[in-house]
Amino acid sequence: MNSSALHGIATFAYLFATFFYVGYLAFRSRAVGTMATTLAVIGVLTHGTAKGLRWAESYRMGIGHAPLSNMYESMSFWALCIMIAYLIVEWRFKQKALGAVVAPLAFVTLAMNALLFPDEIRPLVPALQSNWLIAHVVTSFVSYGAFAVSFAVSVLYLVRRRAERKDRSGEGAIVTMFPELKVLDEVNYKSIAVGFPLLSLGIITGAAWANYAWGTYWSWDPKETWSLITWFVYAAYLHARFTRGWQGTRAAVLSIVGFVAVVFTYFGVNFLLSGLHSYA
Amino acid sequence: MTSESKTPDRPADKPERTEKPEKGTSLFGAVYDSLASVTLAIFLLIILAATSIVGTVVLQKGRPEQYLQEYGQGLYRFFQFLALDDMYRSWWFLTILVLLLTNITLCSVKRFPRVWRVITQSPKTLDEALFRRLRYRGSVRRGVPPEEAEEEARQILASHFGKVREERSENGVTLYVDKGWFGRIGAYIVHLSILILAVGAVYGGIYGFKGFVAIVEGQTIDRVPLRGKNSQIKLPFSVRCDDFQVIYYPGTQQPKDYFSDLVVFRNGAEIMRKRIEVNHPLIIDGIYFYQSSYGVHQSSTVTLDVLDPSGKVAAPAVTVGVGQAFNVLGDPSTYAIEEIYPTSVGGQPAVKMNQFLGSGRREFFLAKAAPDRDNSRGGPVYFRIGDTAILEYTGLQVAWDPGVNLVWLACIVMILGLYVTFFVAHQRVWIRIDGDTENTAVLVGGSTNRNPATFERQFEGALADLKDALKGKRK
Ligand code: HEM
Repeated sequence: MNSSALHGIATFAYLFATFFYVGYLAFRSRAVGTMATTLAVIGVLTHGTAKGLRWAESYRMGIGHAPLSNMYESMSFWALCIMIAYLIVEWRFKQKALGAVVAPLAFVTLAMNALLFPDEIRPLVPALQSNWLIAHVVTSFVSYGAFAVSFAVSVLYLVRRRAERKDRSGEGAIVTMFPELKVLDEVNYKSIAVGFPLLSLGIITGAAWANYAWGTYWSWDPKETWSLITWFVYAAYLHARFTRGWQGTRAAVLSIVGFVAVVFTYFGVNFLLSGLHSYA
Repeated sequence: MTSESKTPDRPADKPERTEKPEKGTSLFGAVYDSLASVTLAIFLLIILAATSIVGTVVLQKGRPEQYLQEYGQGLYRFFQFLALDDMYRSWWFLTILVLLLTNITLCSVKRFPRVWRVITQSPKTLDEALFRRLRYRGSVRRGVPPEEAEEEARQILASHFGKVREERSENGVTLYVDKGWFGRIGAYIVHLSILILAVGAVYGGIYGFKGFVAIVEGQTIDRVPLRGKNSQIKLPFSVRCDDFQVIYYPGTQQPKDYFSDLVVFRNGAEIMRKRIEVNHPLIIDGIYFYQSSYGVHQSSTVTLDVLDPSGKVAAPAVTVGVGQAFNVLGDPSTYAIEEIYPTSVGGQPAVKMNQFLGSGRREFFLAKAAPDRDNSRGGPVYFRIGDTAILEYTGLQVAWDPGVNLVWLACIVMILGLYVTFFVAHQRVWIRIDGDTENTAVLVGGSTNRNPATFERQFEGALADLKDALKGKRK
């Protein structure tokens, strides 16, 4: 069994988890929900093993490095972070509705990975051979995982709120399976409260590394700038909770905007703009 | 108001969570209030996020031709007016940043005293008024003497929450725990860190320098041309490059690493020697030398032997540098070296050549390790690499940033501040015990500024233990 095969298994586990999470919302069956969680956990375990194995494989090839160095490897890591962050939330808050948004996100990420990016293990260019790489990538991507969760709850928040406005009774609607607005808002805040310090750490370790490798901790390169944009948006979110008029819906919208910035920092910059980060 | 208007992390005892403009009677007061408001902070942060996008889409610090070609005259004029070609240093962007710093400062100065008062003037006794205001509370009434109840309460409080203090007043004794108060000032620590960061960045920007220098192997430099300026800086020492090397991943042309052996002299005496590589700079007097690039110096030459297809010398050898066109007797083409690779196939030199004939151009490669391969190109003559005089240079970024340590300090402070803000809750629990020798009335109250769910569990646990303990006593 090699890491590519395990990645494949994880991809399908997430796909089936998606079906079951959606099925859980539709049929409200506990058994279906348990199945969904089981599949998600299986996905995470195989996925984690795949990452570990790939790390070992790179050493066997004599070009050993943490599996975080190109688009394929970092996308896969991101999907893993999303699912772990989600499972923590599911466990802590006893809510499964979120899975119907998060599991497909992980599935699509891995599927795109398989379709778009070569999965061969490549040697590192000299600039990437640094311990800062691991610190920088891990902090950044764990924060992205937390932000993915905040995005998912914000979407549920807006959907549920709309439904509540339209139809006070709300009976029979799928939204009644969503957590309450209050809970959604709280999970949103909590995941950002985890994501924001980590994003800050990610930016700081990136700056420290840049300073060590190039002699400038900040050069307004598009990737840096986009991570700062993301940081500003989440800072705005945190302060939004302070003023009454900006809570609830507006905070959820800001959180969604923040996640759009995350996704753009990650993909948009690589594919649409140019800069130092062209490798990942 | 809908259900989200009260967020779970903001219990009633938190000071002033909403923006209530103080009655600013004067113009000054009104301006001060809006400059210190969180609403302004949100707008500034969003505006910073939005405007920052421009500089990631529009080329920064390009040459005028590049803009003219892409955007045309009219748009370029507009870009220049708004300084969009160097927007992060433009007057308007810096204005927004200064506004943000002002906003942070005023807001923190305005609010901090209130938060500090909440911390330092935290009630030490639990009276009825406070009890009613608290979110978490409970009461027990038992037929046990107050001293015994106090002893139980003290132990339970200590085991659930930590260090217990006490305060006696005419209506009984209050045991209380007050911990994690610094969680409340986390946000202010973060704000302070941003001010430190700004000071460090500005200081380094004004007094520091950044440059780039190429040192040919064997040469010594003591001046560095500054980046983006037409001046250079004289270093208080000189630097010689003894050797430069690239190593490749086996069997590929992909560089694995590259090094320069540098020697530093002051007043003619050697003071330091170091092999630098990517990610491992040389640091002297706070000045960093980073390995950033490498190349072949333009004075390098390659001697090419000219052979006919049978391998016999066809014409005198030519010695040329990059870009120098030459002709060979009996061949209508013109040739030129496009690029020299000092260590290529088999660790030996190779060159990329251009052949021009009429309006046509053709590219081909020569490698010293494969002397007769060029014969297969076909033509009246072929080339073989003879002697070479290749000089490599090492490209070094040179930087001195006297503000960078302040920046790192700010980063550390920021991370500590963020940690404290989000993960340290200011938890307070009071237990007041009052009564006569036979009967005891116990009031228990608690408050937290964060993570109410966790606190509630702890609080309810302590309360249940207390009730149990006092019940046991009666028997
Ligand atoms: C990039 C800039 C800023 C950052 C990174 C930042 C960071 C933070 C953080 C992490 C918190 C804690 C949030 C929470 O408890 O959920 C906070 C709270 C706060 N911030 Fe900022 N802030 C920034 C700018 C500002 C500005 C410009 C103002 C000006 C009004 C401001 C006013 C406040 C206030 C009033 C609080 C609440 C303090 C309290 O709980 O007592 N912040 N800030």
